[in-house]
Amino acid sequence: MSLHMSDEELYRYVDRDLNRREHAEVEGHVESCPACQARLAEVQFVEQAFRMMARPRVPTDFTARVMADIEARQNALWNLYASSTHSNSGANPNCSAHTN
Amino acid sequence: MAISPPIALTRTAGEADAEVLNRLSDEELVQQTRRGNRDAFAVLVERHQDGVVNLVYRLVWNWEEALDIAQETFVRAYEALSTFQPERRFKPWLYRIAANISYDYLRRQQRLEAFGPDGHLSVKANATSADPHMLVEQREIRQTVEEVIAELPPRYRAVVVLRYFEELSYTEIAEVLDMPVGTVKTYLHRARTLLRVALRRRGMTP
Repeated sequence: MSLHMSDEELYRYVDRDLNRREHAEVEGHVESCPACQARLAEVQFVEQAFRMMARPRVPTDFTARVMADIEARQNALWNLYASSTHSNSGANPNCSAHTN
Repeated sequence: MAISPPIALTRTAGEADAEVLNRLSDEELVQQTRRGNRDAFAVLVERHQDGVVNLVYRLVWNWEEALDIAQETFVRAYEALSTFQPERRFKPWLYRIAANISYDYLRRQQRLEAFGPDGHLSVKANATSADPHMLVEQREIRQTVEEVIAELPPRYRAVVVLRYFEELSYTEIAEVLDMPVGTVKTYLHRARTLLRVALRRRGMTP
């Protein structure tokens, strides 16, 4: 085994991207090597820091806007479908004026 | 050209139904939507809007555009639900649509290289700690993270968001951003190194 763990090995360790043998190898080395212990702590700190990124606040009416957009486009499609078939069978079931 | 009829929408679901829908998995909600239950799709929008808006904003760095692109993402996802394969996960499929629309936007703007955010995100500390020192420290760390992310090109930022916000696997990130898994690892490694150096330079690492 090399004198110290590489950065890549430490990142793969925190990512759980190592097989069982490699994982045990890193764990064993870190336990007995203060330098690698410190580097692992730094790597783990960076991982935590990334998770502190700001999250945007989505407007409260976002879902309503999406659903209204979907309905408008569906209605437009139904109208296109109805006019393309030239029959009543294509009437828009989403539009109450057209049902019954 | 033959035009196929769109999915018929039904209006049902009182509060009790909404509760039931909230307990369903994404993939079950997709099935419900395919059967014509619009409320099932509204639950999917509610569930994934933060993640989609966040990813898109980090790609395009323009808040108004990000909201428009996120809205377009959900509409296109709805229209393409018949192509979704139920054995796959909905989230990476949805995010891929978001990434593709964002890339198109960036291409139109010729802005696939790094450029700065529009300053929409305010960097505030979470009110999770009563210790004022902790709050200051958290705010400084978050500030550093945001500065490092702002320096990264769009695809690097997307990898970081998908990894740390959405907890996607390397394979899923590669699928969403249409890049090899090796590239995902390389981008992530570079982002981590930059942040590590920046935090170290400011004396914030342990």
